Amino acid sequence: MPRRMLRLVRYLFLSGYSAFSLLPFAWMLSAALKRPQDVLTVPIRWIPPVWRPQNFLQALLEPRFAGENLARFMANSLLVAVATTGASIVLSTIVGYGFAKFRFRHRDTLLWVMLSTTLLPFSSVIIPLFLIIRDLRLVDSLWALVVPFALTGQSIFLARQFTVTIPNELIDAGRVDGAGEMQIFIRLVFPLLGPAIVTVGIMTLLMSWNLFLWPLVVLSSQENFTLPLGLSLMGLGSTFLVDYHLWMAAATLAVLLPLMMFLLLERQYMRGLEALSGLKG
Amino acid sequence: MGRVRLAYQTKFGLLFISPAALYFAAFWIFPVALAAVTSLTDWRIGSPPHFVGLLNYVNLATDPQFHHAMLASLTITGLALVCIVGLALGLAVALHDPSLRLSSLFKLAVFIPVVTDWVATGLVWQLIFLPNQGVLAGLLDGLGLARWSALRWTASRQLAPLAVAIFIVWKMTGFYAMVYLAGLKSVPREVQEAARVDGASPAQTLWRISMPLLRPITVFVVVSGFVGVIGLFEPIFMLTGGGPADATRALPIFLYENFFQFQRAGYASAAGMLFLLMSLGFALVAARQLQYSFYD
Repeated sequence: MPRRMLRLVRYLFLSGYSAFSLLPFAWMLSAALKRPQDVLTVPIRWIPPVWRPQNFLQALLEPRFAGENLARFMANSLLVAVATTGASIVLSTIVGYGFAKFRFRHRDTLLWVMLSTTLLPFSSVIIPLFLIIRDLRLVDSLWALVVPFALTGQSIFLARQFTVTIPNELIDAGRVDGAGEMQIFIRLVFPLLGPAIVTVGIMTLLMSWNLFLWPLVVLSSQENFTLPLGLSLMGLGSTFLVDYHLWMAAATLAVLLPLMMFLLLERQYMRGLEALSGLKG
Repeated sequence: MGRVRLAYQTKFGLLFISPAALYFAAFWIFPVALAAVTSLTDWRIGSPPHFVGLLNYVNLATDPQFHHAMLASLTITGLALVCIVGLALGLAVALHDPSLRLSSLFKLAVFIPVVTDWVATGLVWQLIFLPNQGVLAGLLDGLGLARWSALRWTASRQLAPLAVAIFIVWKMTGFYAMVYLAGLKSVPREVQEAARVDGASPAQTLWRISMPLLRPITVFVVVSGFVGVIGLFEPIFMLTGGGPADATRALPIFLYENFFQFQRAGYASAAGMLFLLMSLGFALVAARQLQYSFYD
């Protein structure tokens, strides 16, 4: 009897939490498809009385503020995310290989220091980072969103954890054949790092796509705005006084890419999460 | 690899990690040193800085705004962290059962808020908390609790920290639930079986067998959760902007306003240094807990 009770409690708890977790998304999607006057009603109308799928187009294309639209912000975000991810994959696998397959003094201390920086809140280093980006004359440029995140303690650690599992015999065989160290990495090791590349890639992509505080402080021209930055200013300069239906359409568009990427690469993402939390990578 | 000479290994090892060395010098060590120096000046952006020694730190110690910020940070972080750790552990235990039907769907539902961004979901939560006509008001009305629907979640000093904490819990619990779940899976099945054969109830197995083995993970969750939540700018910015009456003006907001809006670069740098040192202490503790995973 207690075991069946336990089962029931378990299902109730999981269903309850899932509802808490998903209801905001359900409401967002439903509001995104409504007419403005149907958005905030008591009681809630989950099914739009009149369907307005054209809200998405309007949210995407209607100029906001000084004439830029959400599509532009989205393109900027995509550009930044792809550039950061590409750079991060190349750099972190190189560095991860160095940490995984070579012995030198203070190696583990160095790795430990780099890893501990990932546990610092980003907002606590934002002023120093801003000062350096200003000195590099990268303020108000999309490069400012790529360069500081092209290599992080997190991506190094992930790449390192995956590279450790590559057999040393393979590398030694390469040396016996007279290959240079860089050649060994490019020809023999890198092709075997598929799982590491996908995991580092998905985690970097999501991190970059969701950045907000950093673009907020370094970007000032609207043509450079990224999606979250444009979204946060959604209420300003719109044609309607209250266009929550367009907010929600824009929000839906913004969560679409991370959701799709995550659903596609869930396994690889979770493997990264396990490696980062100190469990086996 | 033992056959390859140490000098050779050092040379190429350092070569391969050199991008990281450069990156850390350029984006961590140098900027933090720069901010440390800045924190000793009265620099306001646009006018030349003068050396003032530790004056900024002395002023911070007596600045009621800074005390407010610390208090708001600790309130929000405390509220959120207690819920996150409790819920994450509960969810992981509930999900950790091979016979559970729909388990992958539940996992997905729990995790989805983690991968979406703070701003898009922040817009939704703004409308959820709207008094009288918001989503929460609508739900309460549906449950026959209409008299609660006028609560000003983001505009009352008592409720605003709670509203921010709820948003944070919603967004982050899934992450730590998956961390715990991975930890539970790593507890050997034989140990759990043995406990059961010896007549232990499921609750006893959890508390006496699994929990002690999960201790390093609990430390990781608490410490990285603390540092992760206390550094959050976005949920506060999206829901309350620091108000009402400083009730949610936490450290990240304090730093942002002082540096980027009031242009008090020296003062904000000093506050930032204190915040950084505080977080660094926590990060070091956490990283030490993680060290065991370096050797495998």
